[in-house]
Amino acid sequence: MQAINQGNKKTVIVLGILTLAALALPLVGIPYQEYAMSVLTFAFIYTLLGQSWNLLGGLAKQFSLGHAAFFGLGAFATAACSSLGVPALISLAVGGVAVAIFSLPIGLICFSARGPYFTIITLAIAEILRIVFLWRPELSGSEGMLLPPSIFSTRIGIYYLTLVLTAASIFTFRWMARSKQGLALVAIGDDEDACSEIGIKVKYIKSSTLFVSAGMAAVAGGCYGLFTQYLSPNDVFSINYSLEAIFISTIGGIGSAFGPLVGALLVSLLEETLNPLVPGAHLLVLGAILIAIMFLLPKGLVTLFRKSDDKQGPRMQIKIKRRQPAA
Amino acid sequence: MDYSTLAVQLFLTGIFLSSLYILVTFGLTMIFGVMEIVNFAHASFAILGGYACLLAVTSMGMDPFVALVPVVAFMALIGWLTFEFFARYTLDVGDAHVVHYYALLLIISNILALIFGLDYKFVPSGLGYSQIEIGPFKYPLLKFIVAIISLATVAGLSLYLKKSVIGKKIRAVSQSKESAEIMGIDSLKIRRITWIIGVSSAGLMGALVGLVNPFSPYAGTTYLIVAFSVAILGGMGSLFGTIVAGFIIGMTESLFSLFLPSQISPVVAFVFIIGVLMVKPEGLFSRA
Repeated sequence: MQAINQGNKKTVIVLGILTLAALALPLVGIPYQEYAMSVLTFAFIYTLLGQSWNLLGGLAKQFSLGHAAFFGLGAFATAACSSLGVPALISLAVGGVAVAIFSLPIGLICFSARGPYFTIITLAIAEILRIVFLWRPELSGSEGMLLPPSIFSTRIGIYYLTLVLTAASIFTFRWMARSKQGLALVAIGDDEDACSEIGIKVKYIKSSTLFVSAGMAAVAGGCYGLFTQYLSPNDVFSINYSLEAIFISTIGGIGSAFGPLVGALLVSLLEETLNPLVPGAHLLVLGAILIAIMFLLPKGLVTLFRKSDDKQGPRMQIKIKRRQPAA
Repeated sequence: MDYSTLAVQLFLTGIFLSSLYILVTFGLTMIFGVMEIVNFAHASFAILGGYACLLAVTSMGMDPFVALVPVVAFMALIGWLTFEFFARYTLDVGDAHVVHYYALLLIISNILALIFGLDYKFVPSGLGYSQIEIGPFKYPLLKFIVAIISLATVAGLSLYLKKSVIGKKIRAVSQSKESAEIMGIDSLKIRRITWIIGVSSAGLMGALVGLVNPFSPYAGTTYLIVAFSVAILGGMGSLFGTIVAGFIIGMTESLFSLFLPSQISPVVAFVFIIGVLMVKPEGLFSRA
């Protein structure tokens, strides 16, 4: 999208082709089609999760290690709604909004801490949720929860749903990053105290961003539930999802709208190629890649796709409108 | 069971838990004090120590308590390697170092998962369920010995830090790196030593835990959070704070084990963390 600002026709064309290809995938009869759709669906779900983390971590440098909390809550909220007979799409929406509202008191708890302490407190919350859900049978216990089938339990249905949601998340991120809120977030990431000194409503901005972030992660969790039709607290609240969110965004492009997508595609690629050979090996490679990225390409893989004068990314894209001087 | 026996049981269990928590947090808080780094991979070093001990006992037939010595030596080597080839480069990164250390956590956990698989293992101690008798009270011998070893190590480290030249240098760098350097202390060397001590003590704690509880490559998360609780409650960087906080959290958890099923007991530590971070983020005793 930065490319559009710059009028780089080539990138726009490539993006357009890729989008059309993605839309057409379920319709053409290529070999391994179902497999590709499954892999891409998971990639899109991870992208949503990563994008939600990116809002806080990429823009405002609030590194959360507990996004699995919102992912898991969204999954269970959606599951609970659809078990009551609510249609899948509405369950998803209700889940997203419910978790977003729930994030407000959570934000109150988490944002009282800064820097690494924020990270620790978010981790603690995710772990508490995991243990509590595992413990209480009303909340699912160790047996987990099943979801009733819906249009979205078909491969095609969930594929298109996640594709559309991913596109929506990219637009949402870009819109937010370019808005005054986004600018404030970047400023908060740089120096929070200075921000409150000059009158930026730090608490409000952090909370509202968390609201959107939690909602997005919850929708990702809901899609996961609709797709796999079975949820277990040890799975959806596990630290793995929190870590995935971080890796995806950091490797792909922290603070960039397309970053999580690039990262998720890479992670899925690694997982599908390496897992059959040596289970778990992809995580190892991921760790190594992450370290390499942190030292060599700190802004993530998207920097490779940018023109050399644009390595900074979103921060430089905010255009200042000039009034025409009176003749 | 009458109340006095129960009380003694709870007390001894509290000491046992506290000793392990203090041991693992010691390294974490030292590393933070001297290097300003929150080592998210700390618990994976502990688990690594557990597996090292397992290997020593099962493949080399060593007695588990004798094996602790080579395990610590091995962990010191690991500490040196990870410092030279990794930690050293993360010192100037600032807040973003959290991501570096998550990556390290990932790498260590998954190397262990690849080598040992995901099922839970534990280190056989040869002591079974034998009990030690203290006056009229009985307590599992194994836990007793583990607690003694942990407390002795903590005491030894504290003494070392207080009295030895290097210990004083470590405390100096922890207070102010710049001032220490002006006084001629090689801060890189001190950081290396601190890191190695931190990693080794984590590994020792892991080996000791392995004797008592089954563990798996990813089991570190719970201990990581408990270590953070203790470190934050006591004040990151303060060793005395760690000791006090370790006892508080260990005793509280032991007490609550009466009312809560065992899977829930980590929640006690988590609630502590949240409470402390909301009310007094610097902890009880701020930076030594």
